Amino acid sequence: MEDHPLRAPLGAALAGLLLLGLGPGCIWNLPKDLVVLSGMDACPEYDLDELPARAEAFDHATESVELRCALHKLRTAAIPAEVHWSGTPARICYLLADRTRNGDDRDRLAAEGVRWAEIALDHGSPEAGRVHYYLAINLGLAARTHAALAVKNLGRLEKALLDAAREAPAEEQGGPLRMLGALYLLAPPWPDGIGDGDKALEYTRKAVELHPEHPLNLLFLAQALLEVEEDACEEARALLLRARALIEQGPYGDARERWLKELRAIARDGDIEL
Amino acid sequence: MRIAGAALVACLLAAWAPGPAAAAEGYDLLVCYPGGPVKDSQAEGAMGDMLRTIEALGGWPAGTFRHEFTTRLDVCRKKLAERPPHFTILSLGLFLEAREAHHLAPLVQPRIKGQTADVLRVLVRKGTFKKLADLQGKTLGGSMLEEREFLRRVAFEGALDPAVHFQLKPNKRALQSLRKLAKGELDAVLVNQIQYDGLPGLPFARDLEVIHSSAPMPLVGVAADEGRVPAAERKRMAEALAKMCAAGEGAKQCELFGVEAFLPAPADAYQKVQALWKTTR
Repeated sequence: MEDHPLRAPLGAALAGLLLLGLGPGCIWNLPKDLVVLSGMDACPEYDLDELPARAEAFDHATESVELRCALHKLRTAAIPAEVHWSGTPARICYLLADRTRNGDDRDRLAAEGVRWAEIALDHGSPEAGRVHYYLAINLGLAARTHAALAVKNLGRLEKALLDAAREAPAEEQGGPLRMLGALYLLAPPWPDGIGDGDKALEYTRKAVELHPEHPLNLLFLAQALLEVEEDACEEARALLLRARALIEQGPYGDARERWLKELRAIARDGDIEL
Repeated sequence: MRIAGAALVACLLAAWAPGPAAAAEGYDLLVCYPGGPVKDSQAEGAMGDMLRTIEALGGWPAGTFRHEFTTRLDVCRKKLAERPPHFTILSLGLFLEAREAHHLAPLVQPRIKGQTADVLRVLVRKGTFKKLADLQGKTLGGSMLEEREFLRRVAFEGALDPAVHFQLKPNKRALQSLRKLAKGELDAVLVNQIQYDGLPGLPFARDLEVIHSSAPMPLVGVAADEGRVPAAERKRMAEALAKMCAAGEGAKQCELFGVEAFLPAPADAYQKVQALWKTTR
């Protein structure tokens, strides 16, 4: 395909797809049904007006029950416009989907996040950059194991992340920049895909320059260096060591083990000893 | 997008009813993508899914096919030698190399943008070099420099040995090589047909020119070991793949992935390249 149509169109085609880290799947559209949230009787009482302030503190270390309660409120209560049109509902879905191991539930939570983001954008959200980011990250999660869905949405992902990188580059400490870098690194390369090693380096470097405190920025730059540059092992190793320290010390909850596993895989693939 | 072949196979016709009994011992499929930018570990899950769908497509019971995937030439050769596969998806170079020893019979060829063949071209910055001879000792980049014996014997038809004639600068990402060429950091880049077709979209395309084109070379799809896969099973595989892009969900996926059809591989499709491979020592 992009590299070797002459030599192995089928193998190359498969390889292009695999760059996304995907298994082929036959899902073409996002799921529309919702994950049933159980045990919501025990949720704390508070007005939805308070949710944006509470949600400011939500992160990977937030208890899942708190996130589920917040999502339950969003689904069932009359929502103030400023909440409805903000990126908060989509962010809550993302935080829940990201930690959900059941693939179907993860897909449905992420798809719900996409819909919340779409609603916010349709109504002229004043936080459009932030909303674009959570739209993209939810879409990426929902498509992660569905090749056709991912391929179909590559352009949409890129556009949403470019908008987010322009309007809200600091969201999640450089989230739009690092995700854009990761997208360019993992997408099928030119001429058939948007994959572009140079752009991957550009955006991941920018993420690290602006937010060296977020471990994923360091991790993604290390990965891009190992994939794209020659003789970048030392720089990558230094980044991975810094990332590991940040992951181990930071408030990353369930994400910590996943990120460390990813870090070890990147080091192993790059023949780097940590 | 041309994210084709295996993905298509994987997605198609899962609902087809199971057919005849499976081969008693199952089948091995080896996919080799030399120099590709994919890690072998990334392929595992996708390959398994792909094969489950091939099984459904051909009416084989789930689990009939086993798979291996590699992007490394040495690993591919080792796998071919140690555990000869029943079916293969190989580069043209590896196909030619392994064809006799493994009795490989091509079953289907993909048709992409109306073509079942490809052309390799050498690109330079306009006005820098006129012919291949001028590039002696110069740098040649690109994503298809792994199979040097194939390039020497088939793509350059024995006229030169790329490993000797050029300073080879392989890069898994063709776009990087082209940018380096445009900036003067490389003297030439080898591109295939699809990359060549993509050039007009690049801002520096008008600064580049072709100084050499290979003869058209056939695309390779799925091949089978004639000595180990019965004719009826080869036919079954070929027919299943040939129907994929015709209608319904299959057509939708073929469109998405840029493959127009999987065509029966003509018996003489590989004669010329096979002759070049054998005679150009």
